[in-house]
Amino acid sequence: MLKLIGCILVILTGCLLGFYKSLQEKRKLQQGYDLKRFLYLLEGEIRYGLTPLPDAFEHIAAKTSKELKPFLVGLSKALKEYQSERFFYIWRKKIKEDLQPFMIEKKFLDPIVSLGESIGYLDQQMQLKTIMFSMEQLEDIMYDLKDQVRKNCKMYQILGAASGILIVIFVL
Amino acid sequence: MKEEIYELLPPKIKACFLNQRICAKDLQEIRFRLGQPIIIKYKNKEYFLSKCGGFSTDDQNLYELTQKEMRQVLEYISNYSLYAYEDQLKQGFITLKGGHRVGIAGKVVLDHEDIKTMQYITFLNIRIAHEIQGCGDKVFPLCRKNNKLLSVLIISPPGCGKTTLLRDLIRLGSSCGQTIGLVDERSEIAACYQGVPQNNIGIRTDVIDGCPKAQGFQMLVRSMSPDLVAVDEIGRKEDVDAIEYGLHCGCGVLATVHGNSMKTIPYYDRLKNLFQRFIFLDAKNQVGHVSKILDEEENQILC
Repeated sequence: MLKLIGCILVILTGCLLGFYKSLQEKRKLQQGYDLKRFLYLLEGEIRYGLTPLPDAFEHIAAKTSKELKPFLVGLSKALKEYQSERFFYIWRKKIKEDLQPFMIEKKFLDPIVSLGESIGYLDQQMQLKTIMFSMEQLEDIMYDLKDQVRKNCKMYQILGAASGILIVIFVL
Repeated sequence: MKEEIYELLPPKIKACFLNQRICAKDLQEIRFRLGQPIIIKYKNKEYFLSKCGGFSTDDQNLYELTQKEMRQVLEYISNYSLYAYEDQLKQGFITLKGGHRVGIAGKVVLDHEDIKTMQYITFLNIRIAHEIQGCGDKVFPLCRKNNKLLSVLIISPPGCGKTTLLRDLIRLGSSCGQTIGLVDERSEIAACYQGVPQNNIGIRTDVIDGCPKAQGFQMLVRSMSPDLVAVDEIGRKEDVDAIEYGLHCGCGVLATVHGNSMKTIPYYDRLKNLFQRFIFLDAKNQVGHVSKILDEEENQILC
């Protein structure tokens, strides 16, 4: 009886591990969606409110995912304290400190970093076009990633269950 | 709170202001010109920033503003978001938190015949706003009849304290029971930050912020039923039309205009019939000095 319970527990643990890994894969994609949503909100703030960047980031922080919140709040605070002569320096620093550590797919950060090089410069149209361009880049990355994520999810779930079974066979 | 203006200066220049203990309360303006000395107006006198970090009237060995510092000031005054001030740039100024105004000059970019934006901004003039509560105490009783504030036009050349006096008259009128609608086109009077007035403009004052005077005037008259509507720096035909419209609707008007005498103000023929008090300011002894007050018959009631 104990053997049976042990076997079930090992198989269940394997399944859970696989499930956990597949969730992480899905989170990778979700982070891309969160960044895209952030860009949409930023576009709205600039298009309809002509909101200055420090205020825009503060407003968006209240509406966006928990993971992006520290980055946006910190960025808004640093800008309001005039911590650097150039927006890009603050932007890059905050991405490195608050965004990079928890981003699973680092590729998502490339369009976000380069966005900081040209945002704030020239007129409203220029801002909107820059944001649209970053959104397109994000979409391209997400498109490439989608198939891979779907395959990986299945693979992790199957591998999890299979590894559980394999361990049981070896032990028995 | 006026010290907040120092936060907008490049670190090296900011340090000079702080080390020299330049009191922001007495500071009137800071002028930046690319490659030229930094000039400040302090206690009604002009001073230069010297290379050794002090301020003096001597124009030798002066500190010159670099390209990098000009860019820094621009980034700071625009909150790293020059696009957010497009409309203000077209008019040649940016209003800062606290109501301070930054005059801007450089190369203008035209779209057909309209001003599109300004490029290569190389001249800046930071004018520090001074809220002086009580500066209208002396003239306020002379501008009232039956406990009601009359329509008042404040006339003076630039830099003589028109806006400061107007702000105090609004505060006094509002505190004495009259509902006042304020069209604050340049955010200089109420100095609204995210819609909340930073200056004391009384408890019965409604502010329409950043709106062109003529449109704001009509919106307030229609929606907020004010006893008086206040506007700063009138001078265009549509401003005078809006004032006439307001008066026909039964509202009084508090306004300011640039000029030296009655005859030099724009649309004199029309404006002289619209107001009951004309306050003249100059900077003879000090900024905000009331030189004379005329009534609707153009008789002097204070000189």
